[in-house]
Amino acid sequence: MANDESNNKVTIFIDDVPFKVSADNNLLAGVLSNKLNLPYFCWHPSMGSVGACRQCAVTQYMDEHDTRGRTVMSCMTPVTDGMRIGLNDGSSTKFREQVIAAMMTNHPHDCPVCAEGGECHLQDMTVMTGHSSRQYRGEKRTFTNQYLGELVGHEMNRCITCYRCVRFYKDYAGGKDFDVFGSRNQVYFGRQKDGVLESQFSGNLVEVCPTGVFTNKLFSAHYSRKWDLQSAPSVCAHCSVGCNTSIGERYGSVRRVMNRYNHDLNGYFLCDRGRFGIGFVNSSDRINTVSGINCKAGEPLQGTFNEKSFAKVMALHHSENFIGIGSARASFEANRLLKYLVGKENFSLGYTNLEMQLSLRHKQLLAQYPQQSLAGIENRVQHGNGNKEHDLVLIIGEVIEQTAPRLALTIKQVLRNAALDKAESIGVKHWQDSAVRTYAGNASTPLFSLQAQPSEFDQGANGALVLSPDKIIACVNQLTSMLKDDFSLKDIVVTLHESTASTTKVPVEKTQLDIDDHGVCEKDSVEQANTNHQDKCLLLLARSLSQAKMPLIVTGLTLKSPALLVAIDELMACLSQKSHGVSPELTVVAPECNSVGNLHFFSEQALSIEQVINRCKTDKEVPTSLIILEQDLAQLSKGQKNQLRQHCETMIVLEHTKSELTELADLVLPVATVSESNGHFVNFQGRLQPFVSAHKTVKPIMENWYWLGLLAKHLCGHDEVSFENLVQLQSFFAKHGEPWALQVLASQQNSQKSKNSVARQTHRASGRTALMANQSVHESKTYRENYNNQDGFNYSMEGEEASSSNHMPYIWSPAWNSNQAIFQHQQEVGGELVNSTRENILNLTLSVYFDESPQLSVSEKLNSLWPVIMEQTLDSLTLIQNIPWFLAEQQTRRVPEFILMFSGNKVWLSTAFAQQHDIQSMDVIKLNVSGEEFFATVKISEKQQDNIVLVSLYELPLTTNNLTIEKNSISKATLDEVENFIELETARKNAAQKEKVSVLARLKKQDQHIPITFYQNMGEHNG
Amino acid sequence: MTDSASIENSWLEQALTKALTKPLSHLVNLEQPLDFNGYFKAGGYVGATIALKENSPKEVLNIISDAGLKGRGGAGFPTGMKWSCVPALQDSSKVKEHSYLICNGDEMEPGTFKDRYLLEGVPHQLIEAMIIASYTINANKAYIFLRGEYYLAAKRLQQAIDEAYENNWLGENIQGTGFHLDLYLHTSAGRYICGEETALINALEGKRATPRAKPPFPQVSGLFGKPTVVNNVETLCNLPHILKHGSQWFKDLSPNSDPGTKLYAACGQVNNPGVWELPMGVTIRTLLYEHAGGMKDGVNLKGLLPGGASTDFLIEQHLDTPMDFDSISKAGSRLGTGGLIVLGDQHCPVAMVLNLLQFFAQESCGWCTPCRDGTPWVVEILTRLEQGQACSEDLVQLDELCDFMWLGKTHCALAPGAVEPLKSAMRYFKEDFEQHIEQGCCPYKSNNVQHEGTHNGK
Repeated sequence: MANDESNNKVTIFIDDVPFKVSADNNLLAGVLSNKLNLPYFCWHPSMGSVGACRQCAVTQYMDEHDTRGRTVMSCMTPVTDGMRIGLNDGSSTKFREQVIAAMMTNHPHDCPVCAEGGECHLQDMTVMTGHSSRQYRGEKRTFTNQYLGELVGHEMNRCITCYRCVRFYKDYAGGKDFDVFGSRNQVYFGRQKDGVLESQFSGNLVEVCPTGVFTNKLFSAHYSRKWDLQSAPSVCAHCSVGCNTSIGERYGSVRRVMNRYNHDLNGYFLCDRGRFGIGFVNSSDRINTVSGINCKAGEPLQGTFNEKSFAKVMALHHSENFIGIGSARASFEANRLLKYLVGKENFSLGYTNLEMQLSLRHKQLLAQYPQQSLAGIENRVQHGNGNKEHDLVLIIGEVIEQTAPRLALTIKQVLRNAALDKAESIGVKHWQDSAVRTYAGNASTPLFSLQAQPSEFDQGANGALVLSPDKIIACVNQLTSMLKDDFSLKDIVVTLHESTASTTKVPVEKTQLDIDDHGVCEKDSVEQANTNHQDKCLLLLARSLSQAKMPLIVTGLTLKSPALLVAIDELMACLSQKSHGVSPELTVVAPECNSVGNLHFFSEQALSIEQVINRCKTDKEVPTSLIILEQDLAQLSKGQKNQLRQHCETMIVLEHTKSELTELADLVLPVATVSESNGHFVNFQGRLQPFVSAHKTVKPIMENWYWLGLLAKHLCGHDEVSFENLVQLQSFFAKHGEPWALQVLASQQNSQKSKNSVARQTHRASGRTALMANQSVHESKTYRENYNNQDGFNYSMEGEEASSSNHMPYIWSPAWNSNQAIFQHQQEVGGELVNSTRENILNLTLSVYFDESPQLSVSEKLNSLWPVIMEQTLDSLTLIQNIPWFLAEQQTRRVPEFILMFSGNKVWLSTAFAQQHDIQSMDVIKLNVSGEEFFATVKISEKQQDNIVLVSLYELPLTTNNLTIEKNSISKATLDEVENFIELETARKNAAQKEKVSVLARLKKQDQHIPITFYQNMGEHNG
Repeated sequence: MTDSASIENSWLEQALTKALTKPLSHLVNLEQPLDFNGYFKAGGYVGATIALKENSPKEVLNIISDAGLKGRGGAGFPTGMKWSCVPALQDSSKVKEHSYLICNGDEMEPGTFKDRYLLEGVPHQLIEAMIIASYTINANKAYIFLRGEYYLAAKRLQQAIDEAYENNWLGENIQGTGFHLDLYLHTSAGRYICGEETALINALEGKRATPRAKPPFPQVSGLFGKPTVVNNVETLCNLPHILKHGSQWFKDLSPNSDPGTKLYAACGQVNNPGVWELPMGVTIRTLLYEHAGGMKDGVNLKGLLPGGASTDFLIEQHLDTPMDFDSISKAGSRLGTGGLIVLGDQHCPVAMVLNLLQFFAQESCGWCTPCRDGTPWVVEILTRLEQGQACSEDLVQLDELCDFMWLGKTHCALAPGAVEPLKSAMRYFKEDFEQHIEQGCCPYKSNNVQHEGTHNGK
């Protein structure tokens, strides 16, 4: 039990019974931490208390002789030692019932058609308070609902005015387009007018709202009650943070993703990419047949899978030499197995030479600087204990709100540290949300950013520079040398006021940081002023860094610049020198959900894509073939992919959705997606996190490791490889002494409290099985119900209850049907789960080869292994991707709702460039990138550097970034091309709209055709 | 000398004779308030001179505390005590910390118009008072938050502020003392809740006018998070006189434990509605029959609200109660603003309470549940009751709602304030409530008494 002793615990008396509660939190949190039932609405552990709903009232007594007491709101009441409260006394229970009764005066009785039904906090609280008969005889007030975009539905009549939504959206997540309007009993929560919610966290409204005002539109469209869903603990596959999710399935299709509380990472909140991005698993482009080669002459290996005929076909390729290309979006186990079956000298991570260099630098950083969890970055546990908080944030070259949105939400909380500390100084606790905001106002932890493109964080930053990638590196180096020269920077004087003639220098007070009038260093038309301003920003940053005790530096790999990572390494090294008394921390955002897992396989022998191509081209004695695991090879152009296809003998692609490579492949093996398979992803910290299948696929779609096992056996002659389930695979590598496998197996054993598996479904709570109860009480399934892949979970409502697992498939507790049941499973409100094991952190040490040796530096070694030619022309442009967050991950680009949100291809040009080339805003231009043509509408940005082109192109792979292009690769589109472009843009939207409709129709139809499979094996429930 | 000037002079002579007995109102001239020179000649800005030139802030605080001045906004909180919570006056190390002073001129309490009398009649008095208060609490910026409908007062105040700047009573280095004060007039967009001091602060900051959670109190964390004192117009207007004549004089003004004078008012079924400055603690009977001219012909007293809409009814038996904070409280009501709303026996108490509750439901800020959903619920029941469509269970429900919206259960005092007239009406006029049910209609309507419904709650 973590923190039990260290926490400031006191004894209070609830209905005369002593309880231990934390004095650092409010009374409501204390009561809930003791697993007592006390209704509430407006309070939220992450958002604190405001005292709006009055639902959590209790009676507080002066002493044991006081029999009357007074009503207090427990969320607004600090805990004191020996305090006495009544929870079940007459007056407070009556008042709590009255509060519900008052809320219900306007709440519609539309529960049967409400998507929240069955997991509604309002329903739970109504029952909990005992309110059961309606006294109010008047009319209900009604509202007009708004269109809030493709993701979140709005039904304001259900609102009970708890203010949670606006407090999350505006106060917690920093959204600007959602607010509260009106007054009295006509309070309205929404946008100023209809329109798509801008925040990438809007989906949390669904979970934050205690009733059905905000609903998940995708879930509502293909709806199922919570108690009818089959859920599994999963991990989000859409960025490197590794938020824990709960995927809900019914009748073979994924219905929704909900947040799964993980104290260290996502806490209570997900980003919308994680919540709604799951749509890709239901895509019409899913591959559900084995295709590409002939089984017997003229007979394709399709439909049902037959291992014997598969073996026969594979036997034809025994003589070939296979290279395996792994992937950062496939599970750790699948990559490991692929490497095993092809051998380490035949294994590629699917990275280019440049990306190999980048990976080495990434691994170096991870090996040196332990990556904090989000809870660690936010200092969630110790809020208020200022000494362990970050007092400065510096974001370098990574637009985290696009690449790792959940991390951006965490950084927003870090920026609140200053306000929380300020409030603490007058005795206002962190949980007193309104008081903190009143007293500390907009006080923000110092924030600096060096970016190649505009970022959300520019606003409100003490210094924000938008520079070309090269200049960012130069700035970081300059910063390091400034700090090296004189760490105290005593003599440095900074002023960011743009007083033109003034040469007087104003010394900066120790506390004075907000020097810049506007926060953002605006680009001046005069180059000189620009440089001056940049220097001043850097000086201010250097000085602030030298005064910070625990600065946080956030960066990532998006700019694809090994040099940047080296520069940051040096900055970190300089700051970390003990004599300075600074403990800097570094967070590196990785590109994909398992990128850090891939680093585990990084060695000097790993092949880059260039080397793979080369091997295919040159190794003519033994034909070279490829096994490509869930990999787009997006770095290659279509032409290059064709070439690769021509040079290799056989191309086997394991993939879940159609891609350019599956079109080229000889054999396509359909694999399960994250929602259908088991495995581990390794997040940006190196944390190995298991994900479990929510449902089983219909053969021949099979899990990637299973296909790889078959390939190992039948293609590569590894007879020892024969895995029926993932545990066998892990055990196999554990036998080989691989630490990760031992770790994983140990924690799997720990995670199960009982020998029996956990039910993926809730206990039977409705008539879902009654219809055919005379034949079977089991749920219709697309597969045999007793299928067991030894992952500790049953595809059934039978089994151990969810809470007995460390990885709860769904959240439920008696009396708490909504997601608020989570408090019943936490050691303490907002703390770790009752059942939680230490997470496994992957050991990421570099091979000895990369030690600095006197003969050859690491850079020289890198360049000899994976040479990168830097194209440097004076008159060139740098292309930077500026894609919206919902398209900033390859798999989610298939989600029709996201495509519909995309406003179309765009290019941002500097004023100077546009003028030179006579390009106007809203013109359509043609852009030539690595031999491929793209079209986009122009936006002209005054603040943009002249040699930067920002692009947001749907067709451009995410792997293309920080690319040097010639100036002449941008030209105005001809009239025909413009017409084509408009047609293409419209076609993309129409296709998405069509896909949205047809997927829904297909899945709904499928729901009607699920056979009831009679379940034979469990004696007591025999059909 | 022109005629008008001589009239003016004789008015002033007359007025000055009352300087020591009716300090607040002796200079009130609703036709044409005194300009700076006039006010100055009439003894204005003497109190401020004494404060700024002869006393330290701490000493001013002591004088005011000693005088026992209590807030005139309704709650009757001792002004000196309120000020002393400001960090600059609490902790000598925080002497440099600036505060804000806000004058609460959002007079929206139904039946109350005393502040308007002072604002329109003698605007310079308030400015002088705010200089004294700002000096005491170390405020360099002060705001007058004025009810938006007080258009004339706004015009006159702004003119007075401009004159005060011109004469160096506002701005930099006031009268060579080194004290600096900027005074701003802000006219409200119009919500009753803005009279609640923390809602007022929110409104002034441009936020929703929702009361804030307390603690922290505004004296510690108020406007823009800085220490802030919010005082009522009438409260502040006492300051120049206390400085000028001393705290003992102030205490001697009233025979009662609550010192000073008070602006009392009366409206409703009385012969002579109006506002009068009287020693604190005058009895209701004196006020009603001597100053307000008694009940209108043919009308008997049914009951009265002693201090605005959000106070409990008092009835005939309470007429000899002195109108001071403690005595009224003992009688089961609150002194509030001291503005009587008088109900005659030919008007329906249910209709009156319904009218008031419609106002409170309309003006709820919508923050906390009991107020937001409780007040409209009461309106719904009272509407049916008044129409003769209620049943006896509804009276039980009304009782429960009174309990539901009572002090300690709500976020601020609006809903408890709304409960006060309702709860007391149900006690004193129980029969009227029951008759509505028994007769299936409003018994007063059959007497052909016309009701004036003002608010309809929509």
